[in-house]
Formats: sequence, C-alpha cells, structure tokens
Amino acid sequence: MDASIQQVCTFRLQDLQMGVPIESVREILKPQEVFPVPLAPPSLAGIMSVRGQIVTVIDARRRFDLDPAHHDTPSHHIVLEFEDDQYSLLVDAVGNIHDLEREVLDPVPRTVERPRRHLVDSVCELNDEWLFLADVSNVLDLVEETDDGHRQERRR
Amino acid sequence: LLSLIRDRQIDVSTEVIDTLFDAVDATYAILEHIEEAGEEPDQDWGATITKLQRLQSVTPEGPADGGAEQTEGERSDQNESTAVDAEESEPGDDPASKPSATEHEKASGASEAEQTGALSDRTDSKAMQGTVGSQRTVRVDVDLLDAMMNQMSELILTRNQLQRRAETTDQLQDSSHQTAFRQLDVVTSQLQQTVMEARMQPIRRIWTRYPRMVRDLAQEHDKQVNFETSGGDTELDKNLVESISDPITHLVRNAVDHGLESPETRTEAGKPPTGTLRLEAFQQRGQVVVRVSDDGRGIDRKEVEQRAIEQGLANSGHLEQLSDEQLYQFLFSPGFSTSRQVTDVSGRGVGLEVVKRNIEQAGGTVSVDSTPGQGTVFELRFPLTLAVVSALTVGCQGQEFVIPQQNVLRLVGSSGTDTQVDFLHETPVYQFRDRLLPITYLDRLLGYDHRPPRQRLQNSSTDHLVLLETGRTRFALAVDRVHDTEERVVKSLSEPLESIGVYMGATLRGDGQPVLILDPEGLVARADISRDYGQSLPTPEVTMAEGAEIDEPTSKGEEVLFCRSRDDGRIAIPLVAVQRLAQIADADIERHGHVDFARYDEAFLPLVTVEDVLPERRDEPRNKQVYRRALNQSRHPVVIYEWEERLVVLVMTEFVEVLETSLEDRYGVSRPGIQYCTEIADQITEVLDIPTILEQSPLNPQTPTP
Repeated sequence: MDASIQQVCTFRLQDLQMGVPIESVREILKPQEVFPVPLAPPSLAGIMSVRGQIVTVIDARRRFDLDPAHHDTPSHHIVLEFEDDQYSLLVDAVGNIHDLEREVLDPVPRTVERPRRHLVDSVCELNDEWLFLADVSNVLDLVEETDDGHRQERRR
Repeated sequence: LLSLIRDRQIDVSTEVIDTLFDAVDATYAILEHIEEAGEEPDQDWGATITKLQRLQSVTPEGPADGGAEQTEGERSDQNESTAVDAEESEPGDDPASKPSATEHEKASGASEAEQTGALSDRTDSKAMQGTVGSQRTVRVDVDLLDAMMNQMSELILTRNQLQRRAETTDQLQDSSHQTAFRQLDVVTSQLQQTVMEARMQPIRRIWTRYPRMVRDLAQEHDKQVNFETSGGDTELDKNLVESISDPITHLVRNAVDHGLESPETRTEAGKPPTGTLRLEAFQQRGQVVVRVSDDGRGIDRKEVEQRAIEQGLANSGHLEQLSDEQLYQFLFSPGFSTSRQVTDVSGRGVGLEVVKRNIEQAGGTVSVDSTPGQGTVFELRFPLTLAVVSALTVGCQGQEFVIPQQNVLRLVGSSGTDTQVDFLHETPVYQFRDRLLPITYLDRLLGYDHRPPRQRLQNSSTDHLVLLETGRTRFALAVDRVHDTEERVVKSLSEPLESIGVYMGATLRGDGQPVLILDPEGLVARADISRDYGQSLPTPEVTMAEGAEIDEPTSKGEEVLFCRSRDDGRIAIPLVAVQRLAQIADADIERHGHVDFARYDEAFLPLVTVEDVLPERRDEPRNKQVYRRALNQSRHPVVIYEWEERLVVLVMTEFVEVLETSLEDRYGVSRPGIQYCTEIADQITEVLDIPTILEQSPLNPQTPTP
C-alpha cells in the first residue's frame, strides 16, 4: 500500500458526506436490532451482538450533533475496531471505498460547527462536495459526554 | 559458614541470616552477570565476604584461619552452581527455585527452613523430579490457555442456544435428541470445569515471595515479626494470582511498617515483643478470601477522623455516627494517610487507594476491620474465575439484566401491600434477619421511573426483591421479575459502557441477544446506599433520585423515630442504635420471674417498657395485662436494640414517623433516661437515652432458656 494514499469508507449522515479510514473498519452490516443501555450517554444507542461479540452502537447523527434520524429510516452499521473493542456507527447510508491522496486532506476550517469539529480529522473535496473524515478515537470517546448529568464520576 | 551452622557450631542469629541473604543476593547478581556477559563481574563483594569471615571468626569453635578458605569455598560453590544451571533444564517454574538457591538452602538446612518455610524442601524435590525425568506435567503457553477459555465460552453459548431451541421446538422433543443433548450438556459442563482447573494455580506461588520481604522490612524497621501463612493450596485463576500479588505486597508492607509496633512498645502494652503477621487464603461461597492480619496497634479511630476532617471528606458531626467499618472506608480515599511521617515503604498516601483499585479491577472487594491495640485485618474477596459466572436473570421495564449469583443472598417475592416492606422516614426498607436493608428500585436507578417509593408501592403490581451483598454492604434490589439462574459467559465492555458505572460486563442470551450484567458495587455507588464517606441514612429523595441531587448537606442533626407512648406522651428514639422494628403479639410475651420476655425469631428477648424507667410515666404496676388493657391491641410495636451484645425489646405504643432533628433545637435536660428535648411538629418531644434506660431497667442479666 502506498503510504501517500489514504483509503476511506464513505457514508452519508443527513446532508453530509463523511468517511472513516478503512483500517479501522471491520465490516458493514444491514440494519440490526439494537438493545438500549439505560443511563448511557446520549449518543450511545445501545449494544448488539455480532457473532458472539458485544458491539457498542453509536448514533452517529447525535454524536456529530446533527438532527436526529426519523424513526422509520433504517440505519446501517459501520463496525469499527478500536483498542480491542468493537463499535458500530449508525449511519444513514454507506457509500464507497475511495483512495485519497494524503496531500489533498486539509485541516478542518475553523468556521465548521457541524459536525462537531474535534470529531473531524480532516476534510477534502470528493465528487464535488465536502468529505469530512472522522477522527475515530475522538468519535468513540463517549466519556467526554459527561454533561448530561446521568453519569457519575467513578474512580476506575 | 553454612556447614558451621549445620554442625551447630554457631548459633543462628539475625546477623548471620542477614549476611547469608546478602551472599545469596550477591550470588544472584553474579549469576545474572555471567548469563549476560559470560564472565564474572569485577564488582567488589568484599564487604559481604569480610562479613562472612568475621562471623566465622567470632565463633569460638571456628578456627580463625579457616575463614578465608571457607569463603573461597563459597565462591567456588557459586561457580559450581552456575555450571549446574547451564546443564540442567530448569525443573520448576518457581523463580526462587533456581539451582543456586537450592544449593544454599539445602546446605543451610533447618535454620533457613524456619525463615522460608517449606520452600527449600519443595525446590529440592522439584529438582529431583526434574533430573529423574519422569515428568507428569507439560508446559502450556498462557495464550493457548486463554484461547481455550474463549472457545470454551463460545461452546457454552452454543449449548445454551441449543437448550433454548430444544425447549421450544417440537422436533427436538423426541427422546434420542434429548439423550444426545443431555450428553452434550454434561460433557460441556465437565469440559468447562477441566479448562478452568487447568488455569487454576495455588496461591502459594505468590506467597513464597513474602517471607523474605517481611524479614527485610522487619530488619529495616527494627521490628520482630513472626510471619505465618496458611491456605497456600487455595487455587484461583492464573490471571488473578498475578493481579493480586501487588495489592497483597502493599498490605504486607503496611502491616510491618504501620501495623506492628516496635518490640519495646509491644512489651509496654503487655504483648509479646514479636508481632504476628498472618496471611491466609480460603474459599468461601464461590469466592476466594485472602486475609492479611496483624496483631499490631490497630487503626486509631481518632486519627482517621481527624484526617477525614482535615481533608474535607466529612465534618465532625456525622463522623460520630459512623460505624468503625464506615469510617475505615476513608482509608481507601485518594491521598489519605494516617502515617505521620513518610518512609520509603509506605505513608505516601497513594497506598490503599491503589490497592483498592487493583483489587476492584480484578473483580474483587476489600474491607478492613480493626481493634485498637489488638490489630488490623484486611480482607480481600475475589471470584474464583472471571470468564464464566453463575448469574441470575431479572427483568425490569421489559428489559433483561443479569446479576452475579455470588452477590445474591436471597430472593424475596413481595407485593405492594406486603408488610415486609417498612418505611423509615420515606426510605423503604426490608427486614432481613436482624438487619434493615434499604430497598433500591432498579427501574428508578436506571432512570425509568421517577415516582417516590411510597406512591409506587401503593399502586404497583408485584415487585420482587433480590437481596444483594457486596463487600460489606447489603441491600435489597426491587425488580419487576426474576428469571432463572444460568451459567453466563462474561464479555468485557467497551470503555464508554464501562464508564457508566453500573455494568460490569455483558453476556449473550441463548437467542444471541446481548444482556447487560449489573455491577452490584456500581449499584451501591449509584444509589448511594453504602453510606461510605459519611452519608447518613439518606432521605429517599437523595437515595433514589438522580445523581445530581445527592450532594445535599447531611448531618443537620440525627434521625429519630417519633413514637407515642402509652399516656399519649411524645417521645423519640435515636435511630442509630435501632436494630430492627417489629410487631410482637401478646401470645408471644411470657413472664419469667419479674421480667417479661418476648418470643422473637426463635429466641426469647427481655422486654422493657419506657414506663419502667421514667417514673412519671409509671402509673400502674407493670404486668402482662397492663399491656393488653392499656393498649387495647393484641400486637405491640417494638424496637429491638442491641445492648451489651444482646438484643433487647423495647415496647412502644405507636410508631409515628422518622424525623431528623436539628442540632439548634435541642434543649438539654438533666432527667435520667432523657438525652435531650427537641421540637417536633411544634411540640416539645423527649428524645430517649436508651442505654441509660436499659441500665436502670429491671433486666435480669441472664436470659433464661425457655
């Protein structure tokens, strides 16, 4: 693999085109039943099991501070592996795999407020629109969502 | 030198052993160097050698000029053992059983066996086995064991799936399928057992590290320590053995440094100059218990209190109300240390907090018990194994959750109108044996339901209570339904799920649906029922409501049970000492001699009335008829007290409610039996001084057996 090429898997979220680096993607799944987790941070949609593994499901729209999805629109899962745990991003639709030249990736303009800027690693232009490349480790760090008052500080 | 000791030519003194250990250390260092560089280091071991020589020369029988020769012998001995090391395939897995150590210990014989226990014997026999070559063990890579464990988990999962299917599908009901399935079931269970056993290791493995450490520490601090271990055969999961080694090391260090006093202090206190430090392990109810106990000075309650106040963890008002056990929990707070000076081993304040965290990470709990002047006991509890737990499935708001069986004391079915649920103030409690357990509603805890408990009790359907025990906290968890108990494979949770704090893992149902495993420890923390950190028994708004409301200031006064006495007087009883509230029927009251006894829980407890003590309330002679006539009721509300280590029943007329009195509204009184007066509902109410009342009551000191 050419080091100057970043492969990304793109997906749609509301009216945005977004992507995640292909290295962290494990698989793409059709809509699945997700089981809620009481007291979870707002964007933690719940858990599901994939071949005997527990997968933490994240509502990408809520996480990126977009409008909530309609109840009846099925969401697809992009299953990611991060620090030995499996997570799934609930997205509106899964796009394609694209090869991007690393040099076309730009830092996120300061003016961007949605999606949440610190969750985006970089941006570039793809198919005549913006592509927001997600910062996986920040996206999955739900512990920062402490402002909801649900979570209690625990020494762990 | 060693041969001299063997021949009993010189006495084994602390100094001799010290020097020997030094020599052993030196030998290790030399060996290590040889392994790395292939040659002897040019470091100077002169000091040790001189010491060895000197020790020999002081011996009356030991020829002074033989010293150097002997030391030479020692040196060559070292070289020999190096050669042995290279030739022999290492027989044991114990790092301490290196041939060189064996050489030394064999030689030192009885004298060293005292210090290192059975170590030398064991290593000897191991070495023998190794050389004879008839090995009955095979070394297995730890990764392989882990993989086996994982696959085992999957197999159990599949079996559970099959089991569910077999129950629901007609096709599988015929007998041949059933036989096959039963067989699968049995084999799976056995296999699981075997795999788990393969991972088990005796705790002795880490215990062999401590005697030497204790010795060195005792030397350093000029203390005399008799170190005892027991239960070294207790087995637990390999990973656990590793992970508890550090916390135990820490506790052992603390015990030697802070716990045990110097010989002089001990003698002054009338104790033998040599302190005892015990390390025990045993199994109890599916858990492994490790105890580190010493007979030292114990924990000074005053000092802990003072520190707690200094560090702003609590104020003096409610520290007084805490039991010792609750108070000791402060010891595990970050940065808490009662040691006045910092030493190089302990007292830096990071200690017990880390111990607690390590132990909790390993799935265990830790508690402290201490008697000032007599010693301290740290008790650690661990699950036998981590990967598979026996767990109870409960339902709540249509969702299933799982609770580890090892925390479950008992299941209780209770309905909303059932008298089993009492209220202390607005806090629902359940009486279990002689304790009042706070009831926590799972649906409230998980944020589904926000009704106050009394209201929900009136119009709720059936609740089930699961009585739980975690560490030393017991409480009742109210759930919608209780399902079965099953072997569950524990899957770890991702960081965001873990940090919610109330789940300890997840597991898969037979049909593949994920189910969360509740962490009883986390539930306690969330419901704030542990009363750690100085919370007095919280009011329900605080107990049950969302976390944000918990920080309401406590200790405005004390909680009292407001009662009506027979002459319609207003009296109150401090709640702190109340063991239990109960109702006693007339039929259960019997008179023996001049004291009444109430049959309660298979025992006869002495009965006291308030009128016995407060003269102005004593208007009639006291006898059984009085109760009936005056109260005009066949059941009497009673308060059960623990007084001088026995239970005493105090008869009241009517319980009204539990209130909190404020310190400002207290009026002092000098009448015996009354602690103080306070205003309750705008009227003066006397708060009883129960110990005084009991002292003055005509209680027969012995409780006769019926």
